[in-house]
Amino acid sequence: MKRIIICLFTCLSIALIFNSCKKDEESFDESLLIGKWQSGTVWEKYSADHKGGTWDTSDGVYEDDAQAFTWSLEKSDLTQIHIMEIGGNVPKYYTVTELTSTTLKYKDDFGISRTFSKR
Amino acid sequence: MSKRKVFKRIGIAFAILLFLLVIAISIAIWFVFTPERLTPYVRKQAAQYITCKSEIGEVELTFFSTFPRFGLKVSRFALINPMVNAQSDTLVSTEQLIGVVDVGAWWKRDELVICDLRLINGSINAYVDSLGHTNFDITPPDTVPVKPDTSSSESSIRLIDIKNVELNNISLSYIDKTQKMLADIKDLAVNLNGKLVSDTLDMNLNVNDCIMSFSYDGEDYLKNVSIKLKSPAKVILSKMLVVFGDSEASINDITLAFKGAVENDATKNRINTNITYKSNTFPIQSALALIPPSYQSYLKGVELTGTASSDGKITGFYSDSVMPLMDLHIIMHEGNLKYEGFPLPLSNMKGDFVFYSDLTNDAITYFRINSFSANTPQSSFGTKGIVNHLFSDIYCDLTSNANLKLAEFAPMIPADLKMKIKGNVSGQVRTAFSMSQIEKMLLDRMRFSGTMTLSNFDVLYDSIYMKTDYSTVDFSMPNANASNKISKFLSSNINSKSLEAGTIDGYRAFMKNAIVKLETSDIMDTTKLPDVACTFSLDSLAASMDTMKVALFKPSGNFTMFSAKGLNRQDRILLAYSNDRMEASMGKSMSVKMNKTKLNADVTNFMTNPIIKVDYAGNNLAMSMDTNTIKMDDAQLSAAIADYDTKPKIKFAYAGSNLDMQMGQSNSVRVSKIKMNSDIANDPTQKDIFLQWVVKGFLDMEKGVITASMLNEPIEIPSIKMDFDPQVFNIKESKVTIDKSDFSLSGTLSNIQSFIKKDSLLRGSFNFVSNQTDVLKLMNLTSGIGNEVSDSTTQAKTNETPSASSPYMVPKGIDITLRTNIKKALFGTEIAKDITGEVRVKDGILVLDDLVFTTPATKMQLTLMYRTPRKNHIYAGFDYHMLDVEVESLIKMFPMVDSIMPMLRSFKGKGEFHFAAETYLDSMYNPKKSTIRGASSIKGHNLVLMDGETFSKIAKTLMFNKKAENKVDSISAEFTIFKQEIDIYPFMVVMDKYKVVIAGRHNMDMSFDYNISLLESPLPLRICVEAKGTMDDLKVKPIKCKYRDLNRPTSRMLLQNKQLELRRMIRESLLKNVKKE
Repeated sequence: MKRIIICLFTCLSIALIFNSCKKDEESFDESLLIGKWQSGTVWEKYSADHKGGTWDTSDGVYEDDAQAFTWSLEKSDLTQIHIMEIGGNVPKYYTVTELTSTTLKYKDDFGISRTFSKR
Repeated sequence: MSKRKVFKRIGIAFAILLFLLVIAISIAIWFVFTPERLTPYVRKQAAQYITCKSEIGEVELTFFSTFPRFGLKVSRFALINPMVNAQSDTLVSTEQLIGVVDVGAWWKRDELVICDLRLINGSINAYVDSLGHTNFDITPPDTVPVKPDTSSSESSIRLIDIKNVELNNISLSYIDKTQKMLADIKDLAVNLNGKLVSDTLDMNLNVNDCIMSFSYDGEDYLKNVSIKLKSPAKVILSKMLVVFGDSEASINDITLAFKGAVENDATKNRINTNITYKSNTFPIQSALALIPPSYQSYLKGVELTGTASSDGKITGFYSDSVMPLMDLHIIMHEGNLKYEGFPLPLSNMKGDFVFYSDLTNDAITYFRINSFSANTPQSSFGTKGIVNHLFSDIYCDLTSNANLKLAEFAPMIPADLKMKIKGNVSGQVRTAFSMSQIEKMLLDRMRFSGTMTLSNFDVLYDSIYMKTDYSTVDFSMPNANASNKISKFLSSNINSKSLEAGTIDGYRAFMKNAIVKLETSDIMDTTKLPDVACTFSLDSLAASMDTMKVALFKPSGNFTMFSAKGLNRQDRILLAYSNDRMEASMGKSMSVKMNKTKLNADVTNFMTNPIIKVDYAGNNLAMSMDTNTIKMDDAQLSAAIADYDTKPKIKFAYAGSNLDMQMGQSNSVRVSKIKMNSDIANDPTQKDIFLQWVVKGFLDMEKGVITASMLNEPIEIPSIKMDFDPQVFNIKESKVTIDKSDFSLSGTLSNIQSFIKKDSLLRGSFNFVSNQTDVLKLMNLTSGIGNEVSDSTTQAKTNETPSASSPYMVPKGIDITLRTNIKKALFGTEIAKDITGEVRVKDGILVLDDLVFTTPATKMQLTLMYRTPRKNHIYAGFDYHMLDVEVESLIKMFPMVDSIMPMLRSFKGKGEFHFAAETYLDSMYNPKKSTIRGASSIKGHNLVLMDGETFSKIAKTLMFNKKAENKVDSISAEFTIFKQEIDIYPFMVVMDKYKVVIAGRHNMDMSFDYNISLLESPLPLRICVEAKGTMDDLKVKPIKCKYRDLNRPTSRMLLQNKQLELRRMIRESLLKNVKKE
């Protein structure tokens, strides 16, 4: 029992020691985000007024049918607030890993990443 | 002495005396009065009394030939008195002239009195020139005193007291230039007995025979006709007056009795007549032969035979300018007529006629037919009446009857008329008209009346025919018994047992037991329509044209038409019609049947600006066309139409019961009672027919049932009451039942006309109150209204393939709001109760706004939006707020929640549940996963954590105390759905001494990745685990705690704060839609 307690204590100590260590967050220029991005059949559109839309042509949805969202990019944190017509919002929080004039890459907390090309 | 001896002696003495008398007479004749003595004496005496030259042959005394009187017998006697232009210089010429001498006068007074005169074989030529000079004025004038007879020894001769004149074989010629008269008599044998006293001759004239010709003014009135005459007459020579006693005469074989007087009034240059006569029956041909030649042309082609008789009277003056008045009565006993221009011979002609005329005075002249009848070979006819004004405008007033077999007269119809006729016509007709009226067709001044009977009548004119077994036609013109003041021109009653009319290859009409009474005003007046009053009643009427057939049973009615005139300033038509039954059909597929129909119509000003009023009542109406049928009982319809030519306005009222309309096998409308009043106005400036006719009114309907193939269930309408006008339908009350749904609807539907013009949406605002409503079924009923069919271009752009089963398409072009109050609503297998709120359909969007209702699980508030931009791209969004829902029921109601938050299955109890989600669907209602969005908030207190396999697994890892039932103090969680990702934001579960934070992601493929952090526990450790995998392959392992400071704000990290902010945003956005109670 004592051995177990010692082990746990050791673990907790290690955890506490490394807990405060964090890598500096990268910043991206949000102006690069403005425009239409395509990832396969998935499209995202970012406007300068921080409004945007997304659609997936594989479902027979086109730009005119795009579902709206608002967006913000702080450093590497890309937040999309998808606006439901019925009322209510669906926030999506991503971490941008690459943003160039041609490429957009972001990932979510669960490690799902997506790569877009500018169109 | 015996008597015998006395007589014997008287006889002998008489014989001796007689012998001596004879001896004495013989001596006187042969020895005393010899021709040699008498001839010079007579010649001398004649010269004294006759102014003209005379030739007297031998004169001898006769006794035995003139027994018992003595006579003078003159041979070769002649009087010669030439006149210019006379037919002969000889006035009288005779081979033998015997004058009977009055012996007594001669003996006593020495007078030669001739009392008997006989002329044999001679001629008489009398002449009157144009100045009135005659050749027979051969006696000295009365004013010249007769030279006194100085020779007392010689006897004188006086031509007086002639008692007998006998002419035998005498030719008499008489020419009177003053009278333009010429008479020529041959073979005259006349006995004239008379007594001439002063200038009066009483005589008996007996013309035994003669051949006579007579002409007047160049016209031969008699030509070599055989004349016989037997007449007592008195002749006053000075007056040239002849008074006939009861006389008899014959002209050829025409014998007549006559009496009267004829006077030649020389001073006035006329002949006065007063003659009555009566003929025996004579051959008509003989009478016709007496017609003067100039009139014979009228008889050309006429072959008239038979017998006739005549009587009459001729009175008055005859001169150049005046004719005597003739009152002639003619009887035709038996006659036969053939005429070239008339193909039928007439037989058995009988007539009784009166001709009354002086041939100059039109006013008194008439020809009266007392009776006339005749037969053709198969027909008969007759007439009676009067014809007058013969010399001016002939006027006929005749009553005729006939029994005609029309086939006889068919050959008389011109071939180019293309008419065939047969059957019988009989009847009596009275006609009264003048020739000028006929010429000018002045029907209003003529009179026609009568009765005609048509039997087996059959007429064909070109292709038009008419048949009747038996019909009678009564007519009267003018209409003596007019039912009104303005139809006095003509009346006609037609009574027909059967009447058929039509065209050979076209229409056909058949009437049975028809009674038609017709009255009209002047139909010849072309300035206006005639006034007509018609009453009709039939047992049946059947008509057909091509495949159209109409049968009416017991039709009857009145039709009256008045035209504008005089005080009646409006023309008008009145119709009252009824029938017991009516059947009509067109082809095999269209038919109409009706019992007991009544129709009243009143049309005013039909020639200018008609105002029409129609009342109709019908019973048991049944119409069918193909598979469509309409049945109706007790239909009543009233319509009034005004301003027909400009902007028609119609008042329309309709009421009926048991209306049953069937369209095809599966579409029908049945209404127990329906009543509708409407005002309809026409706006001809509009192009659309719905806009041209503006309708306002009221509809009241009871017990209606609508069945349609597009409806799975019939729609029952127990009642509906509504006002309507072009813009607004105001439903005051309505009850509708559709399968399991029943509801009452009240409210207004507006902008109807604008909607038709496409100027605006059709707007409606209704109260929808229902005990039970099957929502899905009602949605099916309204699917697709107003949606246009997507064209090929749109389909190509969207690459959508039309599916066989169409989704519910929200009606477009309308904005309808239902304020619902539904006690029980069925959504498939789900049931909601006490639903209140608004359902709005607006131009392709269906919104259930803040509906509050109760389900078995909870009382909930629902906002639902359904939008159908395209058939294959349908938006569906809902926002549920369940304030006190059993978790178990929640999962049952929304199985998807179990997929998203499977841990909820482990809880028992009530919580607050908010859930908003939306997605686009394809036409099969499959969600387009890329479009799924959702956000939910769950909040629960005092839940019970159920023991289960998963809980046990996690609890074992987290070293929970194992209990069968664990109380959960509170739980508050938010999760969102984005495409196929369900993010469960960190939430805390407080249970006993434990506080656990759970967060993670759940995917639609049922894989998940949860992070469970034990914040508080009896243990000194904070243990966090990761539950990852699927339910079948769950892997739980300790990991670094992500949310250990979640309940300590000062210690929260950035991520945790962000998460909490998002949760708050989610929750607040959801709460925005919660309706405050």
